[in-house]
Amino acid sequence: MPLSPAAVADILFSPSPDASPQEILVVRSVRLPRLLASLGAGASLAVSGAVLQGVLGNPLAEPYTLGIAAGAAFGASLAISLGGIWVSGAAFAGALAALGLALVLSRLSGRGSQLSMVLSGIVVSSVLSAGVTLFKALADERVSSIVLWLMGSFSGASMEEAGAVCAGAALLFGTALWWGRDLDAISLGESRAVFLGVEEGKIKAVLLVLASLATALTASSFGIIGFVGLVGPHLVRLVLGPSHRPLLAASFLGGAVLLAGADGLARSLGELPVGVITALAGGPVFCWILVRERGKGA
Amino acid sequence: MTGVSVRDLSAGYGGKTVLRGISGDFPPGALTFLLGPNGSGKSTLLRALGGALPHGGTVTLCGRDGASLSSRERGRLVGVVTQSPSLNFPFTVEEVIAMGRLPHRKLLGSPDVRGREAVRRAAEAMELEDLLDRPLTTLSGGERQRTMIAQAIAQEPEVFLLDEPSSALDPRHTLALYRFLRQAAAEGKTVAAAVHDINLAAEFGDCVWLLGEDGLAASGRVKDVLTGDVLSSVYGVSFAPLGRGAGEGERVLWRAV
Repeated sequence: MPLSPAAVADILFSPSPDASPQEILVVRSVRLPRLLASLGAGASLAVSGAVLQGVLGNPLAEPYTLGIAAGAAFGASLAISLGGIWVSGAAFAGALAALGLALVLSRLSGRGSQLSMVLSGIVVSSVLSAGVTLFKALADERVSSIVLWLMGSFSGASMEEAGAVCAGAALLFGTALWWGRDLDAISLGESRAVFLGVEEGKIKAVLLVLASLATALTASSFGIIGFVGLVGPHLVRLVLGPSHRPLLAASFLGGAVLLAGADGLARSLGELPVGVITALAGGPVFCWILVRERGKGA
Repeated sequence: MTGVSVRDLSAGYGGKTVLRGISGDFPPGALTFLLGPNGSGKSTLLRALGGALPHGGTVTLCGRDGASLSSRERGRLVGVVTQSPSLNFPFTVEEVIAMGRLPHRKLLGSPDVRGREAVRRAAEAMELEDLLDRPLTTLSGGERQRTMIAQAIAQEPEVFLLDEPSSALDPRHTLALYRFLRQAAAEGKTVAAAVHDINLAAEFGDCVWLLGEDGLAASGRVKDVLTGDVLSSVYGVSFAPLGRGAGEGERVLWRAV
């Protein structure tokens, strides 16, 4: 249904009698929630990525590479296959458990080094994604949409889901921005922040929980969308530098625009899962960062 | 103003105790060097005093019980320089030095004239004026080390704790560093630096702590502690006098033989 931007604006703000009920329905109930959801999820994932990278001192960290997104999807699909109660809570618990598992595994296997952290995240992620597929196989009617989650999609987004995702993004963003200068010191690693009078333990714990929450809200409604949390903050750092206050603000905006754009592309390519687009575009960027990090011997 | 007092301190990593029953003082107005073989716990001691490692026993910092200090208060009181920061993100030299002002910041970041002045002076002390806009990731090891020292200087602490602060510095900057630390001590600060070069302690130190395998082997004025016998017993190798240093007094330099 082709509509000019002016017609869309009309329908959103003051529907004229010319607009058909069908047009109003599509714009207000289908496209608007979908746009808000992709904007909110993009902001949420990019800010989560920036926060995780700073807190863990690891440029490769993001909700997808650390297994947080897969944990959330696992928790949500478990709750759905058990009858569909408390899905968001289960997603949050799954996200936290997956992050905890990846961090413990990384500490045991490689003293928490950058690569061991990502390897652990990938292991956790693979196992949990397999778990999601298993739930789908066991309970196929109720969970027919589960598999789509593994690649993420915004089709069928509701206003409530979009609101929850935006709220999670705003909460994480506001808290991280408040502690922006502390995050700068924390990202230096090696206890620098402690020596500079920062309550490192408390700030790290709160931000890890909020990043898991924001990711869970996104993943439980729209599935696993990889690499936005990686690409967003890295593009911003290239332009603005690593200081966290500008980094967080620009990641919030940049992530929103990137993912909404990716979703637009996914839709115009015949309703592909948006996670396919972000993985195709983000994978090479991940490789580039990996090579750069190794190159400087970090 | 009572410097740093340590009573019955123990610390370690995981299940492994590195330090046990350490008691002693870093007096204010003095530059104290911390010497000892690899693994004797010099870094562990400095990390524990800086608040980054849980420890047993009591630590008194400038007359206040270390355990009762908030993170912020400790950050204003003690500046710590440790070995090698990680270089994950390309902060500039100026940004890194300015982080030293974190413990002094106001709630809503009002313009901090004193802070900017402190950052400028710290950069000057470590001769970093021309590198301020360079990302830390592009610097040499010695330049990075000077940046981390400048961060602690910008902190304007009462106590400096430095772990091998000159390990990557050329002779010119080594001299500048220890002259700066002597000056800080002369102004009443408490300064403790862990080093491997005994002759840095012989040349610039007021006091020495000598950590051995079983804790603090000796401590006191440089001329009392740094003798061939004491050094031999701690390092397990003989020492011979090398000549006299250029500093004030009759400072004897040593070399292992």
